[in-house]
Amino acid sequence: MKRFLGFSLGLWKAPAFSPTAFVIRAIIITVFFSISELLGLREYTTFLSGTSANVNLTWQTASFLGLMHLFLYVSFILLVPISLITAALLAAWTRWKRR
Amino acid sequence: MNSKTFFKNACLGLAAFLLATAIWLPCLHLFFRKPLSNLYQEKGISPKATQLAARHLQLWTEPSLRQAELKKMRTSNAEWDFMGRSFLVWSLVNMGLRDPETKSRYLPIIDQIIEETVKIEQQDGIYAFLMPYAKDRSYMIKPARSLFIDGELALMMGARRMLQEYPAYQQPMTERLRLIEQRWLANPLMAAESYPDECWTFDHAVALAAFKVADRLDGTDHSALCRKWITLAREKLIDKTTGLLLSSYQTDGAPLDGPEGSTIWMVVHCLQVVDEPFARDQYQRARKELGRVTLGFGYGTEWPASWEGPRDIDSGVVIPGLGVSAGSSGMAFIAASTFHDWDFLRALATTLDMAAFPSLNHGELKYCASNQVGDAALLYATVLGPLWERTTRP
Repeated sequence: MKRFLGFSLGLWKAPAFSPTAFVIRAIIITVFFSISELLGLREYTTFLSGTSANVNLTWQTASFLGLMHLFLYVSFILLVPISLITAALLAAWTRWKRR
Repeated sequence: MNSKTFFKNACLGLAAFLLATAIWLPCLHLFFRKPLSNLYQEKGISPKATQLAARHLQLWTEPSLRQAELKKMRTSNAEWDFMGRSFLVWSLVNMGLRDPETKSRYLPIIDQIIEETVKIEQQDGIYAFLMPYAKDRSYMIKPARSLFIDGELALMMGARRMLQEYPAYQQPMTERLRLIEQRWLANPLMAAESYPDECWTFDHAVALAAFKVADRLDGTDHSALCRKWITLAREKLIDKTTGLLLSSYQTDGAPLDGPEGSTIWMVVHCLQVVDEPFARDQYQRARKELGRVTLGFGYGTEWPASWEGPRDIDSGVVIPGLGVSAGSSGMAFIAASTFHDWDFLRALATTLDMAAFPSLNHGELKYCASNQVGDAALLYATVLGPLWERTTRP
């Protein structure tokens, strides 16, 4: 546990533009998107067709939930792979420079 | 870390991020691109059509599910409840024609939909399927009738009869078409209202297709009537800049809405059985003005560059910048499928799988970002063909 916490802290304190920092961002987005999927917020994206997913909620609330899922999904399919590719590029650059 | 090192790392990080973006964006569509046969097949029924239909059939066999779905849609737009029925009936007819063994399964559902729809119209009047603003003014032509309802119901009945003759629908179908013809001939522009003093090209095109189906079924001849409408439309209902048909106009011909994606894609589909060269020309114009493919993703815009209308219930959400319209993109499937524009159809399907949040559960497919009418229109796009083929066969 101690080792895990130490590892996590190390990751958290990684410099903002290091490969580790980009990997952390990708993990954070993945975690948030997974939570959103598990909570079933995917259903609320029906606001895109002008329909409310849940007639017991106000249109604004249902749309907000849908918008949040949409935002996390777009982040997941765009920012996660881009962050991982960025991390790989930076790591390769650092390695090449060290040589 | 000193500020110089930080600045250097920031520049390096940003450069790597931009390079990664340039690598990823052109590849993204490859993860959502599937063979076209997954969506549309010339013969038989595609896997996607089977899955979409399974969900709709379940909705019509389990009343509680259907009520919940319709309640959601009717909260936004009562029209969608009606159009969802129309698209589903037309889809099931095409599926029955594609696979005659399934006919016995679809016919009871088709009849249930038609009978229930007519019953609602008889009990609650035309306003049951119209948006509330229909009650704000009186219809110009009395008694009040909506071409939207008459045209689509006539085509529903006609389509059912094309799958298997059902004498009980002949008289009501003929009567609705007779009323439409009467109203068209009483107006110099052959314009009939869908809403008070609001005539929609969409509804006229559906009615024209219904006339063609009736001619095929009953041996009548409405070709002169259809030709006259096309001639008038070419003269009076064309937007000068794009050459595309207007979407809506008043009974005196004054334009209301210019060319719109949510209308024109369906119009060209219906006009294919009325005047194929004109329909094809309109499709090609619409494809140029409203169809887009960006980084492998296809979509439809609601308005051409030369015209900007208000975002409304038909356009759906419009994404700023790209101008992606949910309404136009959904209807574009129907037009692309009609005119066998496979590249555009594949690109549209790629976007659908990326952005419409598919949800497959026990073999039943729905798109979370869509709704029942949207999914029914998609289903129609995946199976259309045989009904029109039979209608135009010499």
